[in-house]
Amino acid sequence: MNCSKIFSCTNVNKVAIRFSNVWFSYAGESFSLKNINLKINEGECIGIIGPNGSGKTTLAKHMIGLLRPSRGDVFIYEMNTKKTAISDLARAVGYVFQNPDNQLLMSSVKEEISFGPKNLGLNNENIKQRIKEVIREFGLEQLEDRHPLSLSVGQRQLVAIASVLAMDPKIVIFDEPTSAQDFVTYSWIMKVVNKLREQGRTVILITHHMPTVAQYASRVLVMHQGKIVLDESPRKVFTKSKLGKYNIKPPPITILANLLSSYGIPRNILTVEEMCKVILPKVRVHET
Amino acid sequence: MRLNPITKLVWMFGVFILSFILSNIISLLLLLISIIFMWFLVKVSVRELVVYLKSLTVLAIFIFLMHVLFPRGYSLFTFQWEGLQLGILMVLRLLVIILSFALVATTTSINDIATCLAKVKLPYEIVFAFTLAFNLIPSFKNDLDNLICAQKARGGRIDRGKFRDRLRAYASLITPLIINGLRKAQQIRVAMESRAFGAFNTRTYISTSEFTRRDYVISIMIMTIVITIMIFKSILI
Repeated sequence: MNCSKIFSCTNVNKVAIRFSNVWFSYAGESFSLKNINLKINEGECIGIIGPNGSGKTTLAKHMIGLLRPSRGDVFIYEMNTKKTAISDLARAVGYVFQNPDNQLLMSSVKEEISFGPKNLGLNNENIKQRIKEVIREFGLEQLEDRHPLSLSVGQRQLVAIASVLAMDPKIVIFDEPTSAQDFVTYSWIMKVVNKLREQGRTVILITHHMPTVAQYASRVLVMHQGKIVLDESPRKVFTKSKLGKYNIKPPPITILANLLSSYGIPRNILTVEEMCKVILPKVRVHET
Repeated sequence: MRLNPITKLVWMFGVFILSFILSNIISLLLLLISIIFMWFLVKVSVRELVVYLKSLTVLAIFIFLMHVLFPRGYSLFTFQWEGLQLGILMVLRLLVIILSFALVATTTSINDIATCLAKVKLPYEIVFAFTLAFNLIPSFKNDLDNLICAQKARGGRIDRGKFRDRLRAYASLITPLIINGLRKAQQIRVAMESRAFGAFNTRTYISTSEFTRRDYVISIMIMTIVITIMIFKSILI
């Protein structure tokens, strides 16, 4: 409902991120990105999966200019990352790092959240307004004056995310945001992701948690040894038989659907809700 | 030829002592050539030597100019032979000390040195703290890089702008770095204790570093050379 309204007013086909023939190697090492060609449209929710060391974070760091290609070019809204300062790219792109402890640097939650907007050169009135909104949205009212590093792991992650979203980025990159988080924080984070999607922002989600990808991503990139080996919808990706070759296991519910396929269950089920929809009528028939 | 780390340290301190008691350009130059010869002898890549030399250039030029421009006992900016000589001498001394230290550092693992230190009956806790400190440097560097990345990603201009702003940006990294460091130290403490660190007073070692006859011979040779030169120096003066 709300979602479709927002989508209709943003140009869905506008290209947000574009990689053209990108190769990258850390100094003196072999290539960790090999000939990446990629187009991400505004409003897409991309899940990036792949084993450790396959190049997921390296790819994501190119999207904000923290790393620059050794060969080829990366464009963020047609800004070439090689020619644009990170502080300018940061207006369009927000990056939530894997470990919140590596991104919290101010002495109170409030200052932490205002760090980004201040760097953007917004006026005081605007900054105050934004901090207020974000603090309310994340339910951080009680923690405003606490030192960020004195908070619990979950709270630290929320503050880290809040401080990125305070900059109002059009593209938000989450690098394993839910690893080491309990269910409460996990649901919070995914609620945020969902909201960003509904607002028509581009979301990049790096994770090892397949059910999350299955549920939230509109498109999945599978990375293997520095290459994008699959680039399709989650439904297509998770039913590929060669996933095992890339050391990826589909969500448990998809595996179950596969095992039950001889009982007439479709193989391409992604979520528990879908499974319920298929299986409940059959159970009822059996009961009667 | 594998030498005991102690022998290498003896060599290094021998070179240090010589570099201070030798005070003419020719003898220091010979000492420097002997060290560079050693670099080639141990087959450390030439590139590494070049890296060290490059990083020393600015400091060496600075020291040299200081001695030439401000000669001791004369008015400023008057060219004096002594100033020039002293400048060259100081630069040679710098190269000798840094390159000999670098040679030992690149050819000896910190764990080998630790084993030796424990062997000469230094308390193991101290030796372990020493190695741990060295091993944690890369991890701190990594943390620092990540913090800088995070700051840049939120529009922080840590590598641009006015000097004062940059200084402030760097200062803001200190608190998280220390807090994360303390947290890490605590985790390491727990990990160490859960693996029975300090359970017994006597500890066994996997790698034994033997002080062989070759080490004795070389160490005694180095000490003899250094002491002889010291005696000759004092007689001549």
